Amino acid sequence: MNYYLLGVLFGIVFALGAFLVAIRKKRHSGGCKYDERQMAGRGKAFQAGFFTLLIAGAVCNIWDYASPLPGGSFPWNVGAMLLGVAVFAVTAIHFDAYVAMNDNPRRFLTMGSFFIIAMAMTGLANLYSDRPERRMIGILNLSVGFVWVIIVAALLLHRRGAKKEEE
Amino acid sequence: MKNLRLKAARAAMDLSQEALAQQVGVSRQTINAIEKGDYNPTIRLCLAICHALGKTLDELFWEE
Repeated sequence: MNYYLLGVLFGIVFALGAFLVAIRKKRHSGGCKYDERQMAGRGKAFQAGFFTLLIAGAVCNIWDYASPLPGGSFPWNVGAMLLGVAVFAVTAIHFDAYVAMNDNPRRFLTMGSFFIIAMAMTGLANLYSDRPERRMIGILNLSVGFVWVIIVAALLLHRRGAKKEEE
Repeated sequence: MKNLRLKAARAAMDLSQEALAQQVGVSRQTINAIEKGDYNPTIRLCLAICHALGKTLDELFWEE
C-alpha cells in the first residue's frame, strides 16, 4: 500500500477519534472545568502567548523583508506560532491552569507522549524522504513534537514540585 | 500572609485540602494557595469556604 495513502487514512482515523472523544466529553462532563484562580492564570497565559506570537511574528517578517529568510517566511511564521503556543502552555502550567480540574493529568501526559512519538516518527520520515519538498514538512513535524516535549516536561516538573508542597 | 485560621478550621473538621476543594468546587492547589496567602479568593469562594467549614467570614478572613 502507498505510504501516502496510509498516512492520510491514519490522519482521518485520528481526527475522527479526537472528534468522538470531544463529543463524548462535552456530553458527559460539560467540557473542561477551571476554577476562578485557574481562569485568571489562563488569562495571563493567553496574554503572554499572544504577545510572544505578535513579537516573534513581527521579528520574522521584518527580518524576511530586510534579507530573505532561508526557506521563505512561512516556516518561520509557523515557528513563531509554535513559540506562542509553548509560552501559553508553560505559563498556564505555572499557574496550575493547563490541565482542567476534571481532566486526568496522567492520561494527559500519556496522550502527550504518544503525540511526541507520532510527530517524531512522521517528522523523521519526512526529513529523510526522497522528495525534497517534504523536508520542510518534516522540520515542522519535529517542531510541533518539540513543543509537546516542552509541555510534557513542564507538566512533569510542575507535578513534581506540587507533590513536594506540604499539605 | 498565611491564612492559618483557614488551615486550623479545616484541620478541626478533619478535612484534607482535596476534600475541602471538592466541596467548594475548586482545585486542591487553589485551597493550598489561599492557605499560603498566595491567592486572594473572590467573595463568592470565601462564602463557599465559610459555609463548608461552618464559620463566618470574619472568623476566617478578617485581618486585624
